[in-house]
Amino acid sequence: MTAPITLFKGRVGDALQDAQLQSALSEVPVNLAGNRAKAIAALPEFESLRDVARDIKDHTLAHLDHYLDIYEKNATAAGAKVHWASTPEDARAIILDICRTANAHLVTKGKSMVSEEIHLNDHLEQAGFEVVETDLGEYLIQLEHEAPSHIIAPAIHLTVAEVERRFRKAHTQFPESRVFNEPADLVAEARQVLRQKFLTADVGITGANFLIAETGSSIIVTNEGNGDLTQLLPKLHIVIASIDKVIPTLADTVTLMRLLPRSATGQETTAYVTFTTGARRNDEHEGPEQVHVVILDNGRSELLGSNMRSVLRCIRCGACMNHCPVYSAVGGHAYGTVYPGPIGAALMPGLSSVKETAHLAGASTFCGACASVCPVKIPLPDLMRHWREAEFQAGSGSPLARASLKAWAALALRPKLYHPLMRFAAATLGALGRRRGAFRWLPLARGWTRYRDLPAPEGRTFQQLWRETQKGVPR
Amino acid sequence: MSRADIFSKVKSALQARDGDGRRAVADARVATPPAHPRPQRASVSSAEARAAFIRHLEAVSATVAPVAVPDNVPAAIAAFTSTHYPGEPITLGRDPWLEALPWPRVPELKRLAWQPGTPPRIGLSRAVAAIAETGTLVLASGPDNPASLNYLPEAHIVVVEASTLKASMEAGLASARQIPGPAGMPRTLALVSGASRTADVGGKLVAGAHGPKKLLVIFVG
Repeated sequence: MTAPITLFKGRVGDALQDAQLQSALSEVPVNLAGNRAKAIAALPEFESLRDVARDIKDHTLAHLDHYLDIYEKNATAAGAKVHWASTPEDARAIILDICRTANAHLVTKGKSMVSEEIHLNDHLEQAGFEVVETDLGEYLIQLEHEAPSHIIAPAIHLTVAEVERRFRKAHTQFPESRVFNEPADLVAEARQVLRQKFLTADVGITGANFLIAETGSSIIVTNEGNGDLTQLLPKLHIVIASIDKVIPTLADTVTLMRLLPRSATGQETTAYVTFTTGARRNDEHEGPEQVHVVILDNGRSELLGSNMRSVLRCIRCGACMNHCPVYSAVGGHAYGTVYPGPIGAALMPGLSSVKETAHLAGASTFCGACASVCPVKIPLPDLMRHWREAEFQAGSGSPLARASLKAWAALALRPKLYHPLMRFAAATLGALGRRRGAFRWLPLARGWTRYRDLPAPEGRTFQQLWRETQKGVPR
Repeated sequence: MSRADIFSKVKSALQARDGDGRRAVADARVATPPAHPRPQRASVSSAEARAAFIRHLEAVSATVAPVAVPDNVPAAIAAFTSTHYPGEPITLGRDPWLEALPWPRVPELKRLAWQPGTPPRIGLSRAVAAIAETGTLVLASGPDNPASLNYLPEAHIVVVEASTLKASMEAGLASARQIPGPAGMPRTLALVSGASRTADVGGKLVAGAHGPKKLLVIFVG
């Protein structure tokens, strides 16, 4: 079996060579990160609200058992049925059972990362259901059975030409001679195709951005309105959410909502923010007669009890990936996990296993951009550093990296050997590199010098300089 | 049993003990929700709120038509439909406030009673409140204003009274909770801030993804 790290390196190599992907990715900093910067400039209180949001999430997590219980009571009182799933298998079994009992054929879906996490579509399809993603980005990737490459812009890796190719291949009901002049023509065709699905679906499945304990409501945040149609039109609505989605009150939600769209797309708010509370009421002639809420743990309760708890603050805005130099270079698919980018590297080892995914923590320069934009102040580099340690302790990771780290540790723990060796290295490299101030080539450092120069040291080690400074030697 | 399993894992992760007082803390927060700091833009005067509400909606390509009194609403609707959807009827629920408008003043404008299952071309709703800080309409579902009118039509017309305009999201949401029902919440509480849109094809913003392509807000008073 090929090691996960080897597969990862292969995908990274492919991504860097993929001209279409690189062209699509080049827009990310301009659109998403640029719009975020503008939105934040227009809200001077943004920084202080991040502290409030972090405190809301920390408070919620510290009382999570009780808020989940209060949510369940209030959602049940409003006519929803709450189900609990420890594992992805549990969640799939619950959802399959609900769909079978309802004698459903067509299932429409709003965007849900938790449904990706449990690979729900594959299992529903294997069980004979027709499953249609209705978020346009999700629909585009479903046409080729791809995974999302971004948590809020799942088809961000696709160019317009590729979207047209997929539509011509999939929508054979339309004449081949039709012309697509602009993105709006493609959107119009998708609208026509998906509208039929909305109107005839038996079951609608959505995620939830938040579950509110105070009211028993679930919230979805969308621009297309697809999640709204998905949860409103069929007779049966299933919400799939993880335990960390619960929030105490509407007041807490409002603060988080001041941060979420601005951090995600740079919008002050999205076109639709929809709160649903329970099933169809007696006086209503629309809305689902049954509402089921499936709440998934999948490893989160273990993270809650570890020093990784802060990763559960995440409100899934995607800002960390929009600002990540590694994500921006390789895109989401290279990570090979449901959640890509810095949040993926911090979360995935907790959801799957350290062996499978801890190498993702290596896909970071630790520049800290992710933590600096995170609306709930998750210390993402610290969490990734933790997974690097866990990976080393678990005995996984590449043999070369392990051997190098061990050699380095052996040296660093022997000061009598370390100091003279470092003084020698600094002096030699300093003398050799003095003329250019940098090296174009160095033995054992080809991985670095193949792409850029290595700056030459000044000739003395930091410790030497420190001692001289303490003695008052002028520099 | 997954429920017992999850709760026991969560409690053990939090080192919960019976009588550790955390339940009382959670109950108290839900009973008396915290007053978090609000941005300055969420506590502006009513004149500023009016300008901000209109500015935010227009920034996302919605049309705002201010009218002085409710009696002028039918004419504002007719002006919009005759320009964009000549001869087409509007569909609405059973909102008594909307029904009481002087419709005979615009005999050319046909009204249809909303039926579940048939997507109307033009939907008419009345919002229970408006929020200035984000340019948002607050719509409460029910037979008076069915929620599908928010999402299914090609064009959505929303009437909202200036007297219901709130500076903050907190106050706007509170307006929607003055109804009987679980937790005072309508089944669907919809915050609408512009027409349906997507940027999923090549990162270019396109209006009318699945929901309305146009949003007309008639601001009364």
